[in-house]
Amino acid sequence: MLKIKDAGIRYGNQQILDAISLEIGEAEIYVLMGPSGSGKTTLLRGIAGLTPLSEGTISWREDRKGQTGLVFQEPRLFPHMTVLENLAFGLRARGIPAKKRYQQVKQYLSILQLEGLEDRFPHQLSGGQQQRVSLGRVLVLEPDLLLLDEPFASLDAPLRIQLTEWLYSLQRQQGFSILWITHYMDEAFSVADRVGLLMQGRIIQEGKPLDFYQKPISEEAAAFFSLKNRFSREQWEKWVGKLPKEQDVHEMGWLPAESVKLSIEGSNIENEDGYRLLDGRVIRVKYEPRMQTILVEVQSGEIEVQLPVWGTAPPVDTRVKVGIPVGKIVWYPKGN
Amino acid sequence: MERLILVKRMLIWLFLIGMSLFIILPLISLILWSFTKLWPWPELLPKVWSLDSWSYLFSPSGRAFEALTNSMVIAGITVLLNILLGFPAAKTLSQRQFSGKGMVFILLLSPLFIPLTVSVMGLHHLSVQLGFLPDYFSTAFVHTLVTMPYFITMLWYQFNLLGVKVQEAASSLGASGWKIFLWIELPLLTPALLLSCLLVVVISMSQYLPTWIMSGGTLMTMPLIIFPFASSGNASIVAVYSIWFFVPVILLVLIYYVLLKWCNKKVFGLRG
Repeated sequence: MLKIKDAGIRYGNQQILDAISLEIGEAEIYVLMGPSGSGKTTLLRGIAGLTPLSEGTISWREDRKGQTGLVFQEPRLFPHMTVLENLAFGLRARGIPAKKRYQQVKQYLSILQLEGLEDRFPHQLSGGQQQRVSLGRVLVLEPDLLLLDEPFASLDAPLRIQLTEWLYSLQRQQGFSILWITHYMDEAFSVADRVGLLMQGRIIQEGKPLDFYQKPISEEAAAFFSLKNRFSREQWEKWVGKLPKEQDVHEMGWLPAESVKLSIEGSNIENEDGYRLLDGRVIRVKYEPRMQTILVEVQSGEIEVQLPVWGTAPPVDTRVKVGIPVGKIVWYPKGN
Repeated sequence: MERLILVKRMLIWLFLIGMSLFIILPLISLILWSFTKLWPWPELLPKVWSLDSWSYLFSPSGRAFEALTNSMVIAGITVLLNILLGFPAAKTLSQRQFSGKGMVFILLLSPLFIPLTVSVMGLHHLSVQLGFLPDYFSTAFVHTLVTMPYFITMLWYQFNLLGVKVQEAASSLGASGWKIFLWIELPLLTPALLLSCLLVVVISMSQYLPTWIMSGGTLMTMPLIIFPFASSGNASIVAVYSIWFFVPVILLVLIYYVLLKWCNKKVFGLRG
C-alpha cells in the first residue's frame, strides 16, 4: 500500500535517515523498533509530511495519494477545545460543516470509550482518556495508514497494555494499516505482523517478530533485543567442546536463559543428552516480573539462568552446576 | 513550628499592608490636593477647601475631554500598529530560525536601551519627514517605537511557552498555516495579547516628549496638559488632571480583567 524507496533525511550535515526502503501492506501492523536517536520519529515525520525528505520517494499503491494520520508520543490536544472539538478538528480543517462533522465524530465516541466526556476540556481528562482523544481525532479522518510515535509510552503498564489491546482490536475491525513505533518488546511483539529494526538511520533487519530471536542478523541486533547468554563460538567451544560442523557457520551464539538447567552441587544433576555441565557459583539473583534470573559465574564468563517464579533460587555464593543445552544455542553472524 | 507559621503570616500581612499603603497613600494625597489650593507643610490636612481646580478641569480652557480623547485615540492607533507589526515579529522571532535573528531582536528592543533624550533629534527629523501624515498617526507611529519592545518581548515569551507542538499536531491533521493561527495560536495567546495591549495603552498615554515633538505641541494629550502645570508647581491642578488621567486607566484595567475572565471561561472552560 505504501512504498518508501531509498528515503533519506538530513539536518544540515547530519544524516538522520539513510537509504530507507520500506513497504507496508493493506491492514498490516508494522512495528518499528530501535534505540533512542536512531531516527524512528524522523521517519514518521517524513512520512506524515512534517519533515521533508532529502532524498528518495514515498509512493502509494495505484498512484493515489493515501491519507496518513500521526499520533504523537504526548497527546498534544488543543487545550482550549472540548473533547468533541478536538475530535472534529481534522474534519473542520477539511471544511466539513459543523453539523455534519459533529454527527460523524459522535459515532466514534463509543468506539473510543469517550461517551459522556464530549464536553470536557483536555485538562479534565485522565492520561489514558487524553491519549484516546489524540488517537480518535486521527481515526475520524479514516486514514489509510496510522503513524504511531510511541503513543502509550508515558502511561502506566496496565493502561498501556489495555490501550494496546483496544487499538489492536480496532485495527482488526476497521482494517487500516499501522506503522507503530515502540520500545516496549511486549507491545511490539503482541501486535506486530512485521517488525523492523532501525539503527543509526538504517533498517538493519525486518521480519516476523520471532525472526529477531531465531535469526538475529548481527550482534548489534541481538544486543538491542537483550538476547541472553551471547558469546562467541570460541567461548562456547571452550565450555562445551568442539561443536558439530553444521553449527560452525556463524561466529556468535545466544542461548535462551530459560533453557539452561541449574542444580545445586551435591544434588547430582543427570548429564542428560545434549546437555554439557559447567561448574559455577551464584553471584546474583534478580527478581523480575514473571521470572527470577540467576547469574552464575563459570570459568571465564557468566551464564544467565531463568527460573519460574514458583522455583527456589539458590542463595548467592552457592556452588552449582549449569547444564548447557548445546542444540538450543542460536547461531548468528557477528556483523559490523 | 506553630510560632514560625504565625511569624510567616504576620510578615505576609505586613507586606500586604505596606504594599497597599504604598499604592493608596499617594492617591489620598492626590485627592486631598484636588480639593485645595494651599496645603503647607507640616499641616496634616488643608485648612481651606476649594472646588476651583475641578471647575477649571471641566471648563472650556481645561480641555479635559479633548486631551483624554486625543490620548485614547493615539493609544488605540498605537495598539493597532503594535498588533500589526509586533505580533508577526514576536511569532517569527519565537518560531523561526534564521541568520541574524539575534541582531533583529536587539534592533527591535533598542528603544529600551537608547535614552529618549538621545533619540529626540532623530524623532524631530522623523516628524519633518512624516509631516504629510495627520498628527494622530505620526504621534502614534513614534509611540509604537517606544512601546513595541515591551509588546514584542511579552508576546515572544508567550509564543515560546506555547512552543510548536500543538501547531504541529494541527498541521498533521490538515490545518493550513492561517487556520492554525486563527484556531490555535490566537485563542491561546489572547490573555497575553490583552495584557500586552493594556501595557501599550498605559505607556502610550504617559508619553510626553515624543508626543510634543511629533505634533509640534499642537496635539493636546493628557501629559502635554499636565506638564506645564507640574513645572509651574500648581499641585492642585496637577492633582485633578492626574485623577482624570487615572480614571480611564483604572477602567481599562477593569475591562482587561472582565475580558480575561470571559476568555478563561469561554476559551479554557475554567470556572470562577
